[in-house]
Amino acid sequence: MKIFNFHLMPYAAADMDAIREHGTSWVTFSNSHYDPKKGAKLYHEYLDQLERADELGFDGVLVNEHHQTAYGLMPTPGVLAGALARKVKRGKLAVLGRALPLLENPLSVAEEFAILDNLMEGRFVAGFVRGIGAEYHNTGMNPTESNARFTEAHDLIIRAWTEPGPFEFYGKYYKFNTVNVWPRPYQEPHPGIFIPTSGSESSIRWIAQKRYTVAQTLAPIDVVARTFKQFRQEADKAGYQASSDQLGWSNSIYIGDTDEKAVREVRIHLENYVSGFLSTDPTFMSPPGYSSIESLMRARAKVGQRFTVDELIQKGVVLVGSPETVRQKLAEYQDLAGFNNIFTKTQMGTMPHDMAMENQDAVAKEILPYFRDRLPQTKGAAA
Amino acid sequence: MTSNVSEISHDVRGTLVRVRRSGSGPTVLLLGSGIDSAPEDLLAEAISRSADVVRIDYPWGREDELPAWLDDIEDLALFIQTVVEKLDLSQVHLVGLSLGGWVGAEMAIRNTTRLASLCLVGMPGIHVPYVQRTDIFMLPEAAATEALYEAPAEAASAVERMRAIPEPDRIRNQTGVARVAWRPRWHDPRLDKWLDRIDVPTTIVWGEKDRFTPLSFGQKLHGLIPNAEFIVLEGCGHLPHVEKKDELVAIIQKHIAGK
Repeated sequence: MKIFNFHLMPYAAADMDAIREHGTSWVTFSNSHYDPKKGAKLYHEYLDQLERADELGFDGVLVNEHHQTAYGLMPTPGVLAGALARKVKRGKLAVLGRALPLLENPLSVAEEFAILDNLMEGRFVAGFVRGIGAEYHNTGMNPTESNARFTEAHDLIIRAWTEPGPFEFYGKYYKFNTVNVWPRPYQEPHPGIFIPTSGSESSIRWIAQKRYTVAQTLAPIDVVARTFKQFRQEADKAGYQASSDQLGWSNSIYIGDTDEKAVREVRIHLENYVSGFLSTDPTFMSPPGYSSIESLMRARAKVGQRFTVDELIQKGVVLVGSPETVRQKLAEYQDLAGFNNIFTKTQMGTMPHDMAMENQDAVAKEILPYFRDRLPQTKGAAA
Repeated sequence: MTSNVSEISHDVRGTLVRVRRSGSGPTVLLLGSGIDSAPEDLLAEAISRSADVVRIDYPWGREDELPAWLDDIEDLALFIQTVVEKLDLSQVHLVGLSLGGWVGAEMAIRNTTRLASLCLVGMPGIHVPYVQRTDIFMLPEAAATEALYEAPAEAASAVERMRAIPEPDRIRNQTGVARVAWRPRWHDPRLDKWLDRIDVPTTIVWGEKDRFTPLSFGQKLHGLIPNAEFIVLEGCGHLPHVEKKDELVAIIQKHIAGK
């Protein structure tokens, strides 16, 4: 199994009471709550963590993109990826991913990713997303065009990477007389592509048809298993057998000396994550047209519901416990869902730097060596 | 609701559109708000006592997918205009409620040959920057509904009506409205520079307490349409046909009669 270290770069210095009182950390939580002195320190700590993760032997480091929120401080992840590109010497570097429909010129992503792939001499992984519902509020983009813009922007980027330029691109949303992206990516025909998703049926079908790698975000392990089962079925329909390398579970791991101690230590930080950074109104996150009516209804029905920390652990959204417990559960989940990648956050919520560093050391020592050569066994892989 | 409402579906550009018609007299094209149709039925019934009231549904609500040709408000206006031509309506008194007013104005800046008059009620479509207003796309459904009313009792019954509509229907409707009104938010930046082309008698009606399209929007609109009459309804929110129905009916009747 490949184990990547995934950072959200939350504004961990946030006044969590202020977020709870406001009701959300997204879009309308004023940036007057951001203290640049604290923020600058966090950026350096987070980059130190990711650089250290590479030294520790993680298979790669991942950053992502969110806008106008204390949840994550990476509105332009390419800046952070650029800062990492010269330091990540062993593993891969991935941006999971750029939110394509929010852009007027998706060729900027073709260019940015091509530069990163050159800097990394081929150890770069490209990620494309639609952006979450909140991002259609803070950018003003029309959510009813989200899917169509995503597909078109994706097609444009792939063509820009694989067809000799200059050529004309005439889409519905994007029109260019000359597409001729310099530099070209280092990898032929282009960097590997991971697609983060909340697991909607149409997204899973598309990712499987494109033979990309799926990254299932924040979900209980039984949902992850179901999503991956659908992925394998969609791959069958597309005429090939999905590889477990195409399946990635985005999780969090915290290791303590004992199960009880681990839960006690991490509780407040996970609590701040779910009830603070993550909290929002589900309608706000599900603007009309953003996804299918069924998906929107499912998402909107979650009003007033959120996981408690204990549920996050019990339902297998996060892995918390002693080294032995985490190893057992991870093996169990790998076999259940059949994945061969995990995208693991070792810093979560308000977790301070020292604790995050110790935790990723522990994951490197107690988990990485045990899973490096482990493949999913039994039904998950075969189903 | 009314006894003599004829209902025919027409295939226009591959989209089935329902057209309802009732009453006799001068032709009134009543373009709705795109939400909460029950109060609009009552308004249509009242007007149809002295007019031939035609109502054309918006091209969403039946299918999960929006029509492929529908990209913006201009497409919507040209679609309604196409239906008007297909029905061969002439001497039309166009009464537009909220979104319907916007559609009517977009039709009128392009072509008024089939229009006798315009009555625009609390229409979005133009923008006044830096004015405090409620963005209903950013609110949960109940709060978004309430924001359209001034009287708490009206707001409460509107929320009840909203909840009685099956959620998939609500989402289909929200999606159609979002397609034309999300970006730029509830307006067409090109509209105001062409409003002076409107050459039919125009009455503008506004709720004094409208939080969605505040009074200053109505005042700006009044300044842009030549010789328009501007009527402000005191203590009324965004939807006069719900909160001040009798007054609005009287205004519309007077407007159609040419005062």
